[in-house]
Parts: sequence; structure tokens; C-alpha cells
Amino acid sequence: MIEAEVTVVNRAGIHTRPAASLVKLAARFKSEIFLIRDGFAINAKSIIGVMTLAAEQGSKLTLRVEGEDEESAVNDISALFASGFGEE
Amino acid sequence: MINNESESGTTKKENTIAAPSQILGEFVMKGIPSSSGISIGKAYIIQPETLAIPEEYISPDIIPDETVRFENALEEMVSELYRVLSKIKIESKNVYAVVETNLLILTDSIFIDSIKKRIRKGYSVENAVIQEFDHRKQKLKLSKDAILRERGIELELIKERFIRVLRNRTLTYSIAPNSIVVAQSVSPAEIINFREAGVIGIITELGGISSHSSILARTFEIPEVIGVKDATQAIPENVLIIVDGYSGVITALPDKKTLEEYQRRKDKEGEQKKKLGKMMKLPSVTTDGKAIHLMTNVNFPEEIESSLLYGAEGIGLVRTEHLITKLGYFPSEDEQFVWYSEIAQQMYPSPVTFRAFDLGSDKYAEGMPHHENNPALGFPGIKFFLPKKE
Repeated sequence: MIEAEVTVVNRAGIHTRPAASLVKLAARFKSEIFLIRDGFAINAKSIIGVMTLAAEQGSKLTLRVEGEDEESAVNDISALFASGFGEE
Repeated sequence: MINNESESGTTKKENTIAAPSQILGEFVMKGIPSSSGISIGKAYIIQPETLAIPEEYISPDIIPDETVRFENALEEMVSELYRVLSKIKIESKNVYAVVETNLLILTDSIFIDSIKKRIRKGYSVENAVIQEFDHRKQKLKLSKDAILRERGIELELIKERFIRVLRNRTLTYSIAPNSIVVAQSVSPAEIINFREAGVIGIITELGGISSHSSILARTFEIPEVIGVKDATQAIPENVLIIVDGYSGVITALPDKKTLEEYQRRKDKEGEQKKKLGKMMKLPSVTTDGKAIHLMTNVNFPEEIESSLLYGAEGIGLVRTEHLITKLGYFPSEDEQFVWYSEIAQQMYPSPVTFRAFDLGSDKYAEGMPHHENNPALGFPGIKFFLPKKE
């Protein structure tokens, strides 16, 4: 199991489009992927979960990944967060 | 009618069920014009779903049936969205993204399982769906971020559609051609269905000018007026109604004079289109032989298609600030690049002129540096860049 901290850097937060890209990326991995905010964990493969995280700009989340491809999952998802989901 | 009753003493049935036109005369409502044009047609009212479902619990032996009913409705919605996706691709990238998200939501196994769990607990499908959607929406409402709070509306639209499908109201297929739809709100998917059904105008109680539905209405050239308060309650089913997508005025049960006036304007609009249509392919040359470049102004990439259709020789002006007002925040360089190159590519090899953000202070975007009450001020054009050192 790997844990990493990710920060929402894009101005609009995880709204619909970033949520969709995050979920589509997460779905590519076999590992179980969770995002945790204030002790509340959601499955990153669930769009409704990601949307209802209501993560606005600046919020810090814990990424928890467990499974055979956990390393690449953490890397790729952290990179997506760092890129601000391709937004400002 | 009240007089009638008291005079005759005993009221005949015919008197109590009077045609709406006998009860009411012409009346006017006002909204926000969001897609231009004039339409005259019969009102088709889509009543907002009353979401109060009386029976709380279902008997345990029908739980399997309820689960099947849920799965059927889900399947119907998913296949409808796939059908819409196959049609939407060429029309608008943004709308495509929205429909795709709806699809991701309806195929989200965690979400679907939570609804099924509620059914297994003994709630009816409608109850289970409403509870689960409201539960999720509640979380979004608590967000500090306006954009995220707005996502709640998206969930609301999906929920309503779900309830409609569950109640077997496949609305869009029963709409007569040349109807004017009056609804609380419409989804992009519905607009696509409306167009196929031959709907000629749309009136909604809610909605935004930059909403995906409004963009589609403009793309399809269906006149639309939004923000008409209580429209679904005030306008009787099947009455004649006029949508003025220029001024935002709705006239129900128009009297002869109003109808003639609008008919005249509509004919004129049609003639003009026809006249323009004939001229469309002619080269724009003055009588003394001087060539003039006839170009169009564009607010959104979706409008390029009609520019090309009408034979524009290029885009004279792209109002780039609409990118900001549409997004509601300041777009990144990458987002701007995608938007601008999409326009340039579609027009290639014709020239395109992009105007710098004309941000009068009446246009506000999140993260804007300055507040100013006079709409003539603000940060139009180069003023926007001046305070930026980079």
C-alpha cells in the first residue's frame, strides 16, 4: 500500500471535467484507489464519489493505493493533480 | 365563468370544463432570450416531476421486481445517452463532455450499488433513487466553491430524468411536430431529442445563457427563452404560444392583432433568410466591381458551422471574452490554445481575427483582479494586460 498527498491546484477545483479525467485514469489500474479528505474516503474509480468530494482549489487529499500496479497508479494520478487536470 | 354558475344555478358539466382560451385572454410573460428567432406553435408542457413519493416501504416479495424495474430504467437511460453521444460529437465538444459525465455517473458501479442497497432495504425504486441522489447532492451543497455547488443541478437533472423514465414517460416521442416545449429545465440530451421530434421553440423556468442546453438551442437555431418564472404552471397545455427569442417575451393565447404582428415579423424573418440565402453564394462585389470581404462575428466555436454554411470568407471578430464568461473562471493558456486553434482550424485557410478579452466590468470571472460598478470600465482589451508584468 502506498500513500501520497495530492493538492488540488487548478482554480475551479475538481469539477465535472477533472472528475471525469480522474475517474477514467483510475479505471485503468487494477489497484484499489482511494482519495481521503478529512478522514472521509472515496473510491477514485467512482465519479459520483469524486464529484461529491467537492474538492476546491487548495484542498489537500490523501491518495491511498493498494494493488499490483500501485506504484504507477500513484505516479500517474499525482501527475494529473500536479498538472491541474490540464487547467489553470 | 363564476357569473355563469350563479345565474344558471345548476352547473352543467360543459360549463365547468371550459377550454383554456375561454378562461383566459392573451397574456405575456417575460424571460431571458437565449436563442434568437420567433416561433409560433402549440404549447407542450412538461410538468416538473412531483418527487414526493407516497409509499415509503414496499413489501419484501416485490423487491426482486423493483430491482428489475430499476435495471431496465437504467439501461434505457444509458442507451439513450449513447445514442445522444453518437449524434453530439460533431456539434459541440463541451456538450459531449457533459453527456459523457452523465454516462460515467449512470455506469458508476458504486453509485448504482448504493441505490440497489436502498431497494433491498425495502424502498421503492423511486424512493431509492431520490434518496441516493439527494444524499450525494447534499455533499456538493456544502462545498465552499460555487462551481462545485452548481454541479448539484446536474445531479438534479439526472434524477428527474430517472424518475420520468421509471414512470414510463418517454416524453420526447409523443411531442407533435411544431410544438413549443415549456419545461422547468431541459438537458442537452432532451434538446437533441426535441430537435428530432420537430420542436420549434423552447421555454424554460430555469437555465443559464451559457448553459450547455442554451448553446445547443442556438446551434440548432431553435428559438429559446429561459428564466420564465412559473411557465409550466401559467401556460395551459396545447394553447397557441409565441416565443420571441430576440426580446424574451412569451405571448400565450395571442389575440388576432398580436398574432398578425408576430406572423408578419416571422414572415419577414423568413423572407430575409431566403433572400440572404439566394445572395449567399454570390461573390461580395460592389456594382463598380470592387471586392469586399464579407466575414462573420463569432462568440463560440459552435457558431463556425453556420458561418461556413453562409459562405463567410473568414471571421472578422472572435469575441474571446466569451470563453471566460462561459467557463466562469480565467482560462489557462492551454485552454485558450485549444479553443483558438479549434476555430482557426475550422476556418482554415480563411483568415480569423481574435479580439483581446473585452472584459467590461459587467462580465465577471472568478479570479478577476478588480471590481468596478461601471460596465463601461473594467478591463477591456489591452487594459487587462497592462497590470500584468509578464
